[in-house]
Amino acid sequence: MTQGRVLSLSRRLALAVVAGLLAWAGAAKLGDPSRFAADIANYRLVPPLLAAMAAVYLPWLEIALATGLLVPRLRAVARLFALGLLLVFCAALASAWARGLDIRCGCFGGADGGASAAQALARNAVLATLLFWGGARSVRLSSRGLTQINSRDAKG
Amino acid sequence: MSPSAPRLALFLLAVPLAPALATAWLHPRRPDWQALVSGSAPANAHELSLADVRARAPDALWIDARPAANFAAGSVPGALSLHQDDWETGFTALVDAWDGARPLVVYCGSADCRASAEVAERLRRDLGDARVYVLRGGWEAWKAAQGGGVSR
Repeated sequence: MTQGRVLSLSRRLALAVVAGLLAWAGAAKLGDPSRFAADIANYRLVPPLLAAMAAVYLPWLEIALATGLLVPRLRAVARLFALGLLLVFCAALASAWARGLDIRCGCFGGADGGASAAQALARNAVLATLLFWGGARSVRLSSRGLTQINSRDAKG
Repeated sequence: MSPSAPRLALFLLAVPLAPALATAWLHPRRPDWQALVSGSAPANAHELSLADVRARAPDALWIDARPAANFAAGSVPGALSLHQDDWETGFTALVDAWDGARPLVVYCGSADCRASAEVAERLRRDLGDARVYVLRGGWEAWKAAQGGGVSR
């Protein structure tokens, strides 16, 4: 197996790991939208109504992005959105941490045992790294346009 | 970016809308939209100071919403531990101990924690017409009122 093939497989594996975690995070939150809404509201960054709307939308968005990471035609866009989502989560967590709020992360519903902000930030940093790594070829070839990259992914 | 990228982006953002609407409308644990829209969602409506608890709910059953380790280190005398992450165990113990009439007062670590509000909200949902309150200031307020430390 060539080095290029190994790199390509490892990048796909990285994206698959992120997709799995995103899907798990979304599915875990779907069990109790009210609780997730409370988790979001606890960050005290958005009003309760907006928190509740996010609580019913975000889990499905995470599942859609997880699926998109596995579909060649959607992979590049899903990766960008997933990175953006992680960035937003990190900003919210850092803000809560900086304000000394003693709150649940809410990242995986109740399935992560109520990870602290620091733990969740570290986990998000790992996921962002995997997303960067998984899309490294797309970034390098970005001057050729997403369509070309997607068609290469579809063939590969 | 290729011309199809914005369409793909819109597609990815739009796909979750239908299941999200179904969740908002049909999920048994959906948010209380009516209260949220009218602005009457109880943020602190059921929050009582320790003095209020003594005056309005002197026979209250105390519920400790902190993690089990904190509960073991010290709690309000007679309190039951009920943490979100081990709900079944704590809730069963509560149902066994509660007579259905006593008010419930939930507390967590301090004024900054939200576990007590979350547990109280869940208890209201699971127990129907129970009188469920949150102790303002939580365990820190209780300790301060006892002169620094009460544990069992």
